[in-house]
Amino acid sequence: MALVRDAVADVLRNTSLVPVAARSIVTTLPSSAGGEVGSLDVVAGHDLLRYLAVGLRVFSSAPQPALLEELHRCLTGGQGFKPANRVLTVTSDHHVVTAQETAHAMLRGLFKPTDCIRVVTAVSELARNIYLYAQTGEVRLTMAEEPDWSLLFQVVAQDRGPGIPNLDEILSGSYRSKTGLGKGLLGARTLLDGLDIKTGPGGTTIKGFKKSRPPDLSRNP
Amino acid sequence: MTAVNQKERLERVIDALARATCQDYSHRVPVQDVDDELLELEVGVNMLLEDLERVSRQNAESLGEIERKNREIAERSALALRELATPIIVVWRGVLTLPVIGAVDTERSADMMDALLNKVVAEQATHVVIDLTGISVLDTRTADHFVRMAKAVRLLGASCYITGISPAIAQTLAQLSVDTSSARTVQKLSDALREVFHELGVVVRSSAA
Repeated sequence: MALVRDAVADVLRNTSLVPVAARSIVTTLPSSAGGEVGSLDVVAGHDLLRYLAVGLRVFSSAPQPALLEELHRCLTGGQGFKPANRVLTVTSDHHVVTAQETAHAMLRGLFKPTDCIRVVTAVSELARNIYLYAQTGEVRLTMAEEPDWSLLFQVVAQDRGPGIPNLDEILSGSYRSKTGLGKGLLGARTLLDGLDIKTGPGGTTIKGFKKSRPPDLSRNP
Repeated sequence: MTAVNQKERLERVIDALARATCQDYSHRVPVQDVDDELLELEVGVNMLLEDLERVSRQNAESLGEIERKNREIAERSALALRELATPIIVVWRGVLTLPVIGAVDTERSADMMDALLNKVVAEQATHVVIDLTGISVLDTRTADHFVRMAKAVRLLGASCYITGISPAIAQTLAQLSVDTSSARTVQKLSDALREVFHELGVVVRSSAA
């Protein structure tokens, strides 16, 4: 399997780019370019594409969306990058902050800034609920690229806590919680495109997702 | 005593060197009481191993020392960061500002509340501005915390402004239906200060004509 660096060099060689510019772009690629073509997940892949977009802008003045699309196709075989996964254990208040930061790092540059804040906030609500009501649990974050290059972010928050007894009341918005559970859960549902809640005495599993159009590769990150 | 033959002696030297390659410097080549060229080699290797053992022990010690110092520095900077985390600035007599930067966890928010309320009392503050420009994410709990903080400040008799909410956060908060009506929100820190100075009758003007 070819290295990312070589694949990029191959694409750039067949363009109008002056050879020295192409070479400069290739030699200054971030370390993720040292891996094999299939090894990049969607977060690392788009990081690399943004890096290439900057390089192309520096060395050829005009943004080159077509060229970036070709680079994208060549790095993914047209199938989209493989999904990025992060698994976080939540056992303390500080892990809520870690969950925010991890989600932010996955979404930055892939989702619109406002959507990015929305999703990070929703992840934060779910992680905080785990800590507040079940003490320990797990948050799984996934970013996947669909065949049409649109993006799908998923969050799964799972715990073995006591469950949510008054779920219907909470979701109808009539429940006023002293501690904030109602608001957080309701908020997470509003902020995401969908939220599926399974709860019972054995624990709670909440799955949420948010979609986004493909990021504009030629746009300034 | 039967002298061990040369091949065997060489093998012992090689054995000691092989152990040294695996960072076991404690082994020594057994030395026979035969004065020949091989003896020089054996003694030479042993001296080398002696040196290596000493140096590696020193290395381990200084590594431990460095690690200890590193931990110390990390602890000290964490402490310093926590002190720095809630810088409350007296911008005018009776006017306090609290710029909030970075993530706010429970511990930090409690610290913040404590420090601010104590400062309000100590400075006999009439106005407090909490600036959230440095915050990238506000979830319901954190937002509630700032609203509570504003309420507590008001209970102490000072008016409280919350500033620096970015458009993205504003949209999110609106969707979360967080009730911020009990806190006075103003766009920028400077806007809040202008209002405060106006209320206090302080006139700020440029000295240029």
